[in-house]
Amino acid sequence: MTSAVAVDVQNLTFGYVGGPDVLHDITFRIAPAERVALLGPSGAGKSTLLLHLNALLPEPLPLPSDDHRTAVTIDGLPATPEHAAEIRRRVGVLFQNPTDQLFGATVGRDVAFGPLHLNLDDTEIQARVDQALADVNLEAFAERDTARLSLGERKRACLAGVLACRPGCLALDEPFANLDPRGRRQLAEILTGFPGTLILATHDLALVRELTDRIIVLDNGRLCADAIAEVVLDDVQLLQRHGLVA
Amino acid sequence: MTDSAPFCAARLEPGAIVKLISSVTIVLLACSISWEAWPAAGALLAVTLAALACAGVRLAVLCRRLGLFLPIMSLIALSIPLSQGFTSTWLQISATVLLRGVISFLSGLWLIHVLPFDNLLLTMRGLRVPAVVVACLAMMHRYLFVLWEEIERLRTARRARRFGRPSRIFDWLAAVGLIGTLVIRSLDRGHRIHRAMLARGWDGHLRPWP
Repeated sequence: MTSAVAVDVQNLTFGYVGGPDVLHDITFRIAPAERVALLGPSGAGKSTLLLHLNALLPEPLPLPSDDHRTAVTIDGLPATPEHAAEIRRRVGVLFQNPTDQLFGATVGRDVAFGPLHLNLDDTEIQARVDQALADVNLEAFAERDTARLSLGERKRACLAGVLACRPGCLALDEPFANLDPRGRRQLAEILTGFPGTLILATHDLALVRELTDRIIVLDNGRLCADAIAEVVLDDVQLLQRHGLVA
Repeated sequence: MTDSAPFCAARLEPGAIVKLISSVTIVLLACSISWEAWPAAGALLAVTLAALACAGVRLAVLCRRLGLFLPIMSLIALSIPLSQGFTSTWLQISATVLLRGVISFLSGLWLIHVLPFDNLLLTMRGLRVPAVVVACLAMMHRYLFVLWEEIERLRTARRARRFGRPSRIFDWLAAVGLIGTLVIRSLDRGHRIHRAMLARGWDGHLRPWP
């Protein structure tokens, strides 16, 4: 793993082409090795924010007058197309749908995708693939067809693909969604052992309490709360107001 | 990983090479045969059908596959006279295109029945087929199943909201809607896959891995 990564978001406002703004004036700073949960109802802008942390937005490229991309910096590097490659080395994103993220025919080949694009030598790639598969308890799955995995296995295979790039920051989009209790526990244990910066977008408050120290609440594209985890989780009115508890 | 990686030579099976080359040869022969040499084309078709029979492909399966392929190929064959005019040779031209397409299709069908897809890709890499082509085929194969699952989900959802026996016209209209939805979902999925690839360092250059 590279050293833990600092994330800085200043006055980020963003909307998809032809649509309304999805994020409004978002500002926060995450220190290296900090563990932060992004909470918010569906459509709050969590996934869009995570895409920004990997320089994956906007599409198409902004107009010259549109300077909102520089609102995001990773270890001081602005999230612009010029720095995208370096930013993606430092921040690993786990997407919501694992099927979109497993492009290899076998698990081993898929996990090798990231290291291959880091231009490492074959020995190092193989070592990283083996290590990443061991980290997610899928050592025996290297030759397994990616189309024949359970959802929990798919999510862990995706995480192995991200971990093989040895990022300093993990940004996870709903990693626990649709997983059974055992799958959630397995994934939570893997994340507990991750030493870098952790940004977790989820609806699972129990795991948020277990895995993170700080919570950022988004609702309707706006930052509504940013505090230590216990304070937010104990504020039932705040949670109800933003649709986080029934 | 470079194209000349040693794993290819080590894991190549002579039988797989023969099968791949045979299939490609049939396609090339089919594409080079003119209308005048129709007996040769007929013989080639017979050989391909015999190979399919030897591979254990059942007639019902063959008819189902041809049932999907022939309408598309017929439209392609008809598009030539439709765009260039119905001259005295339009029938010959269309029939030649159709015949070439059918023989090539059957040859491909035979190949995927006698050679597992992973083995096929490995053989292609071993025969120095450009890595881009092999990687595109691998990804196409991977997402073909995802697309099929998507179709099944859409069909199930449609059936769940269909009460009674609908008319054939309604069925066709629903199928058109299903195809449209599938195209939009596939485009969305394509965007998401591209983003996921970018997030893991994709820079437009394929680097195959054994």
